[in-house]
Amino acid sequence: MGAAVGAVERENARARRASPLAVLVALVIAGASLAGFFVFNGNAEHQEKTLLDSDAQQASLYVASAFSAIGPYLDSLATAVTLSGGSPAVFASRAKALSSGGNSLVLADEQGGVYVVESAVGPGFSDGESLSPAVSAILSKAGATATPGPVVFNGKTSSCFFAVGPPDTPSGSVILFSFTIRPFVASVVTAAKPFALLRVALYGSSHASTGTLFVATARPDELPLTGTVAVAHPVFGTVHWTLVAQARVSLVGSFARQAPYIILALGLFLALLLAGIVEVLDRRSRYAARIADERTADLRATLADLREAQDAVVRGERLTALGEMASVVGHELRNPLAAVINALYLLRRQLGDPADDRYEKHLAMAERETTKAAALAEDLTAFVRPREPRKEQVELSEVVREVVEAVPPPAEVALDVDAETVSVFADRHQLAEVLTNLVTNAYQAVNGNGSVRVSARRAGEAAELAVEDSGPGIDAAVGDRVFEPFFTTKHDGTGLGLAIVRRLVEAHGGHVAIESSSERHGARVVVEIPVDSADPTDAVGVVT
Amino acid sequence: MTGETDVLVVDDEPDVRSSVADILRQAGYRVQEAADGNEALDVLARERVGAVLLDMVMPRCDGMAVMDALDDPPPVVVVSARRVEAAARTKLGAKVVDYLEKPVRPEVLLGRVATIVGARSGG
Repeated sequence: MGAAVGAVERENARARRASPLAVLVALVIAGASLAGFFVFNGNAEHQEKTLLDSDAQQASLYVASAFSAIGPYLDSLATAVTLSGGSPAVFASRAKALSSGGNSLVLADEQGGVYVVESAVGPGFSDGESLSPAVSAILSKAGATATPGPVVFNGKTSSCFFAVGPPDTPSGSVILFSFTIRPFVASVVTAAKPFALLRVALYGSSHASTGTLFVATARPDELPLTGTVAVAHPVFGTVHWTLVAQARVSLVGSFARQAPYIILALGLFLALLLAGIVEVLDRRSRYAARIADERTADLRATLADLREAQDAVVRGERLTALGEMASVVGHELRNPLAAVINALYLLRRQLGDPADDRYEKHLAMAERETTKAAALAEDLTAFVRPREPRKEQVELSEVVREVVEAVPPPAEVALDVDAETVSVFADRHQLAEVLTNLVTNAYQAVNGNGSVRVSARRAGEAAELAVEDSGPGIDAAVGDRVFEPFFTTKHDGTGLGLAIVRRLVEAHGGHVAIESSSERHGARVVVEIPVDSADPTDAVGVVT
Repeated sequence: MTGETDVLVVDDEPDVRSSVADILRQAGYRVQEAADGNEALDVLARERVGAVLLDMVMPRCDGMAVMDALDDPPPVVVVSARRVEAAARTKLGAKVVDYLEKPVRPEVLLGRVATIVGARSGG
C-alpha cells in the first residue's frame, strides 16, 4: 500500500515537472536568439563606429578646406606689401579695406629674434609692439600657406591668428590675420547643415584641451565629449588640430540599433512558445502511454483471473468426477462390509473372546481393518453427499464444550480451551462435526505428547474457530492442499476429514485455512463462519 | 397366519441377509428371510412378524413399495446402504421406527431389535 502511494506521488511530481525535451527546446532557441543578439548588436556597433569615424574625417577635411580660404584672403595683401617693398603705409591702407569687426590685420618684421609690429589695423595690436617669443617662434615658420597660431579659449571667446610669410611677403616680414569668435555661437547647427547628426568640438591643439577650444556644435555642458567618439586631426601646414565627433542619434538608424533587441525578444518568445507546445505534446503522449500501461495491466490481471477461474473449473470438475467415483465405491463397499463384519461377529462368537491363539491374531486384525474400511465408506458418503445445513441460533462456546467432552484428549496431551460467547446461525451438528474432525486431527498431530489449543471468538462479521497444535506442522509447499479430498499426511488417514470440514464450512458461507510456519511449531487451522445477519444481537449492534 | 416370526430380514444381498439372520438366530430370535419386496410381502401375509429389518434398494419390488403395500405393518427398521433422504422419511412417517446405515455393527442391530421385540435368551 505504502509503495503504491509513493508511486502515485512520484507520478504527480513527474507530471508537475516540465519535460526535459521542452526545456532543451527552450534553452536551444533562447541560446540561439541570445547569440543572434550579440552578433547583430556587435555588427551595429561596429557600423556605428565606422560611420562615426568616416563622418569625423569628413568634418576634419571640411574644416581644413574652410580655413584654407584664409590663405588667398591674405595673398592680395601680401602681394601689395611685397610690391611696395614692405611699406607699412601701403599695408595699412589696404588692410583697412579688408578688416572688419573684431578682426585685426598686422604687419610684423623680425628684429633680433622677435617680431615687432610695423603696422596694425584692428584691436589687440599696436605699432612698435614686440610680440612674445612663443608667437615669434610660430611666425618664424610662416610660409606661403596660412599657418594657425595658438588658440586661446577664455571660457567665452576664442582668439586665434593665421599668418603668411615669405616668399609671399618680403624676407623677414609676416602678415597676421587675428580674430576672435564665440565657440558656442559661431556654429548653430540646424538639420540642413552638414554633420547635423554630429556633436563636434574643434580644438586648436593636437589634443582635446579645453583651453584651446576653437568651435563646438554642442552645448557647453556637453563638453568634453565622452562615450563613443571619433577623433580626427585637421592639418594646416605643419600644425595639427583636433576634432572630436559624437553622434547625436544613431547613425546606422534606430532599426539597426533595435534589431538585436527585437531578435532577442522574438527569440525568447519563440523559445517559450515552442517549449510550451513541446511540453503539451509530450504530456499528451505520456498520458496516452500511461493509459496504455494501465489498460495493459488491466488486461494482464483479467487474463490471470480467467486462468485462475479456468483452473478452478478444471479442479472442480476433477473433484466432481472424483466425488462421483467415490460415491459409487462408498456405496458398493457397504454391503460387502456389512457381510464381512457380520461374519467376523459370528466367528468371534464361535471362537471366543479372546479366541484360541491360533486364530486370535488374525481375527483381531480382520476386525481392526474392517472397522477402518467401514470408516472410509462413511467418510466417502459424507463427503460426496453432504446434508444441507439446518441452521439455528447456536452458541459456539457450547459446541466447543460438547465436542471437547465427547472427544477428550489422550493422556499426555494438554488441552487448552478459550471459547468466548459467540452466537452463530448455523447447523449445530455440522459445526460439531467440523470441530470433532479438527480436534481429532490435532490430537493425532501431536502424536500423544504435546498441547492442543481450541479457541472461539468473534472477529468482525465472522465467528472465528481455531484449533492449534504443537505438532510438526504442515510443509509450506503443501498448504491448502490438505483440504483436498484423498490428500493425507497420516499413514492411516482416509484423506477426507479436512475435505469434509471444508465442504461443511463452505456450505455455511465460511472459510477455512491452515497456517503453519517454521518460526512457530505446529499447525493452526482457522475456521471463519459469518455471523448471519438474521442474528438479532447483530441488529442491536448496528443500532448502537 | 400360519406361524410366529420375531424378525423378518429383507435384503437382496444373500451374504448380508444370511449373516444378519444367523446373528439374530444365535441371539435366540425366530427369523424369516426375504430376498426382495415380493417375498417380504408373502411372509407378512402369512405370518405375524415382530419386527422387519428392511433394505430399501432391491430389484423388482423395493423397500418403498413394501411400505406402500402395507396399511398396518409391524415395526420397521430401515437398514440401507444409502442415506434415506428427508422427503422419503416424511413419506414413510411413523411406520418406520429407526433408520440404520450399513454396515451396522451387530451389537447395535441386536440392541435395536431387543428394544422392539424384547430380548431372547439364546446365543
